[in-house]
Amino acid sequence: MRAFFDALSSRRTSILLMAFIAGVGAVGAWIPQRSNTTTVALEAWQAEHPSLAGIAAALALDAVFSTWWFLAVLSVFVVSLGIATVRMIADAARRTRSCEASRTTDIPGVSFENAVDRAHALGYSGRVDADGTAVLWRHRAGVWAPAVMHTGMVIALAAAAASSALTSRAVLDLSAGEVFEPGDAYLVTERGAFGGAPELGAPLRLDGLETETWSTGELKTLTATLSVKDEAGQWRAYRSTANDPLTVLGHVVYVQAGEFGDAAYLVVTDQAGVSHPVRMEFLFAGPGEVAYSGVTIDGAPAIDGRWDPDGVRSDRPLALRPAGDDDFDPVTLTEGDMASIDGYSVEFVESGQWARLIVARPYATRVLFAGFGVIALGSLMIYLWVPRRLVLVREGDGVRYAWWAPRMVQGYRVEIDEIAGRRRAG
Amino acid sequence: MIGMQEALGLETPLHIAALVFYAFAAGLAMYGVLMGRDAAEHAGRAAAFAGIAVHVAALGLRWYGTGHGPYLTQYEVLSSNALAVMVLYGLVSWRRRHARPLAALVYPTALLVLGIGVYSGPEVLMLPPTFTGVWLVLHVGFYFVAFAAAVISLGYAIAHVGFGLRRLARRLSTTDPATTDRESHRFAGLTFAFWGVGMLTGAIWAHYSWGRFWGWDPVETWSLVTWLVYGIYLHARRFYRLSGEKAAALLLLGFLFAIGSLFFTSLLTTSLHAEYFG
Repeated sequence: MRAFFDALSSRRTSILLMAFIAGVGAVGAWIPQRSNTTTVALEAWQAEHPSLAGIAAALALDAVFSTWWFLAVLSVFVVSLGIATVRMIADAARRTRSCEASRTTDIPGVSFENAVDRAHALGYSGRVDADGTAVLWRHRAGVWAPAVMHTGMVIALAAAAASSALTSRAVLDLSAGEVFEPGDAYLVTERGAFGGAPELGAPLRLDGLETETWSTGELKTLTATLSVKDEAGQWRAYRSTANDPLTVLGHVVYVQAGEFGDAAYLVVTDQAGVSHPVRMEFLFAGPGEVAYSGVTIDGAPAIDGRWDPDGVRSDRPLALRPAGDDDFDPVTLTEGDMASIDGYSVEFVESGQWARLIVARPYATRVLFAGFGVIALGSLMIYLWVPRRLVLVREGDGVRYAWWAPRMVQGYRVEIDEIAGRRRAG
Repeated sequence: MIGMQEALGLETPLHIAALVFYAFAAGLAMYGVLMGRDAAEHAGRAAAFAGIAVHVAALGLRWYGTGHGPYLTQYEVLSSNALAVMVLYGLVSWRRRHARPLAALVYPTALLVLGIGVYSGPEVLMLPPTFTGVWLVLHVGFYFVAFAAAVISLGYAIAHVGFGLRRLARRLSTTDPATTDRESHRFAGLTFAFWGVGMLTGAIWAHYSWGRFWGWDPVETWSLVTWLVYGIYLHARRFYRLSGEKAAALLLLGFLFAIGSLFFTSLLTTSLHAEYFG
């Protein structure tokens, strides 16, 4: 069993696992992944690379980061890292406590005091005993650096695994003034393996959206005013921006900069006399810009719409025509107008704002970010504080030394040459 | 006080002036190092410092004119990376004489990076709402430093082994091989550290912007791959005493991954990051 753990946590295994993960990462970065590509884009790539697409589909390379074998390798990596980290901590504790110098080397022609002085001049400091033994260090805390960095990685990876397993996200769609009640259906829900659907636990209302644009017309800021009903039945208003989500009852509500705009609320009555209340959504297009959209009735595209609130016909901002009919002269409407489009009777009831929000129930993110902090600290410690330990032992008029450095050994060995007077300092 | 439009009108000529100074610096440094002419090396260093001063002014005006830090569009990203290389190398060579011959490699690299940036055109892109906040600034800032450290690390590696160009290596390496090898290793470590922190701060920014800290986006995945390659290099050096040409070759591979990650993946793949490098 010990041999198994030794092999699992060996440096060779860790290098092989890192190389494997890097290789899979490189493949996954070049082959479009289902998780972050639209179906249209994925199909376009498959049409462009038919032979590669066949291989990708057979080996699940288009969803490579969620394949069982990649997750298994990742798990082995985490276990290997965990064992190696425990060993690193034990090793660092032993190194900082120990001042053993079983094998020492003579420095010819240099006295103990001289060697100590030269070591001090090089930045070494520590204990000099009256019996003629000096245990001197440079950057002693750096002994802990690899253990600190790897501990951070273990914390971050464990937190990331917990987060992936427990966090759930959902997309909800609201019109201005509309209330999302607990138990209402989300548009889409993504759950971790052990996560339930997010449940806000209190009614949420979208009060409105404010935008600020650059002089070029591009979106600069997006602020949503959201109200939450408290236990006393009072609405409490909060403001949330694209980069500053609202935290409410353990959930985080994100406003998405690409998923909001104006909407035209229509009642479309078909030839059979059935009325369909629909929301024609227009994505935010900026001042003076025109937005396009369409509605489907019974699953089929029925009417195309154009939203032009700043145009020459701003008093009639909505223009409608039959879906896909470029020759049809659009009918322009204002709120309250009726029109007949391709056999449909359409009433433009009102206009308003809409937004698609993300609601997430995050787990372990604070632990994850704490892990990031520990990694950052350890990473900087490793290369800014390279520890060196120098043990000097008086021997008659001379001195013997034992020197240890865990990394960049060849580079720092010159310090011994300086202490021995074989090389000028500086 | 000048207006924002005036600032933008001034920054492009200043960028071109910085390019000219860097071209002189690169030419003089290469001539001085390869021909053993100290005076040319000194003149190259002076041209480089003048270039840095002009470059800082150019990016400052750009910052003022656009209202955001120089990290959007190829023009800004490449210019910032070139400045990071020049400034970090300037600081390193100020204190370490053995770093000075590396100017023959570092100045041309910065010249090339800035040249491509200026060639890509100075059109202004305004910041989308999600491209704000301290985490974004830290994210891009750490990557700038990581890239600069990667260039210096590779410079030391070339000075150490020459990649077959013995004469070049002899000219670049004015100190003992142990020092160039150590510095190459140390700066690779700093690349690893800053790259890692850049990636982690990016994850925090993504969490606040899109509600997820990691999404296997092509650019973030490529960045992870780069970090792992540097990690493999550092482990191989420390535990398997990898050195010489093999170590330099692995470092070169890591550097190529870094270049791909910073400057190419967002152009060639669909990515959330495509917006910043458009």
